[in-house]
Amino acid sequence: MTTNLTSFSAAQATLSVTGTSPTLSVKGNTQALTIASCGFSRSLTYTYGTGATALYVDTMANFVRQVAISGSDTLTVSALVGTSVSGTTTTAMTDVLSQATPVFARMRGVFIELLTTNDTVGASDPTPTTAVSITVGNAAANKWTAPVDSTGTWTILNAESWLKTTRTAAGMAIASGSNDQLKILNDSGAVVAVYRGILFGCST
Amino acid sequence: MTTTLTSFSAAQATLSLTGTSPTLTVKGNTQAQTIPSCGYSRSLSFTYGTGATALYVDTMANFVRQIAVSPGTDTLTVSALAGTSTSGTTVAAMTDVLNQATPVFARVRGILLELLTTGDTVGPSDPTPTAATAVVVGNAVSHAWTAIVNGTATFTLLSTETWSKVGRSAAGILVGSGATDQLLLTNSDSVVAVYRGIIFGCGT
Repeated sequence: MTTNLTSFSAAQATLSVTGTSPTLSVKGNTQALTIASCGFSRSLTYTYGTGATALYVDTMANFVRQVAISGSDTLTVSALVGTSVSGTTTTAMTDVLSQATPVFARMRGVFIELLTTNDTVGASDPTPTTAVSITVGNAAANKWTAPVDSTGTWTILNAESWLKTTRTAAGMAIASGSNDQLKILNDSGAVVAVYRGILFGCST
Repeated sequence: MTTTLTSFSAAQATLSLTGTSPTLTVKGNTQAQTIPSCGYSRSLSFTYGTGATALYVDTMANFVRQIAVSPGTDTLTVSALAGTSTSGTTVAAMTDVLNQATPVFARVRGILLELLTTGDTVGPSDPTPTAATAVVVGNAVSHAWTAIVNGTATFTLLSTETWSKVGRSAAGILVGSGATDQLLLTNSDSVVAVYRGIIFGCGT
């Protein structure tokens, strides 16, 4: 017969915590308790294609770039070239699908991460640092407003990452020459900042 | 013997595109071409624990909430997520899925917001997602959570867009109870907006 206990005395059992590890003792027999896996999974599948169809992707850029001390790096997302305003060109900006310059007319996803010391990067990438933070947004001209409204900014601290994706047919709007620049400012006055960027979307 | 072609004439082969499906024809034999899987994978493992230790998590909230028609708002006080909203409708109890109590955050390790759309899957007690076009995030009247967006800035989540931020530092994404702990979401549409929120971090 099994009896479900709704309460118990200390003589019967004790539930305790050592550090962050809960243990259960029943009549002198102690058993560490573990918490089952708990999470949330979300995946999206994209189709190779271009234009205003939901989940179509034909262009993807995955790069690691360096921003000078107190300097900034402005990405022109309508045509990502391998230069930066005051940073150091570190990795050629290449569409991994077509091996050409990444040209985006609409974006499906943006990922930016301020890397930290010992993070894994490619052999030709700059070495990640302890730069305290980068501030993203508010480019001097042609601000790309999909990531942040108007003149607003947001801050990514060291080891933080930021992601935005969309499932709409239109995607995140980009307008070449008017709504296509994303500024990344290194807030550190002591060390260069090294960040990873991943952009994927459609060329038309 | 195998000869590697570095160039070829139309009489030898043609590479063409029908819709989004590339085909290769060599001497009259046509073969559809497929593009291999292309992507970037990033995963983090968190440990059950609390306090300023990197990747420690002891609190997690996963909820779907509804915001009244424009200018309806929903203010999340992340230091203690209660099941009420400013002018929306309380739709799901705010519960820490790890300890089944009110989620209390002193530091957040990750946050995800998604503006759901018609047909998206939700729980049986959740509100039904709608075609609401956009919600604006940020610029709470008081105690704005500036770790998400700086000052009075905002960003816009269009229908089906997902936004997330994750921190790997020991400090985490800091929450200041009564000072920097409020995240405002404003519905821009004339239909109610339904969004998913996931917040995980530490109680201390």
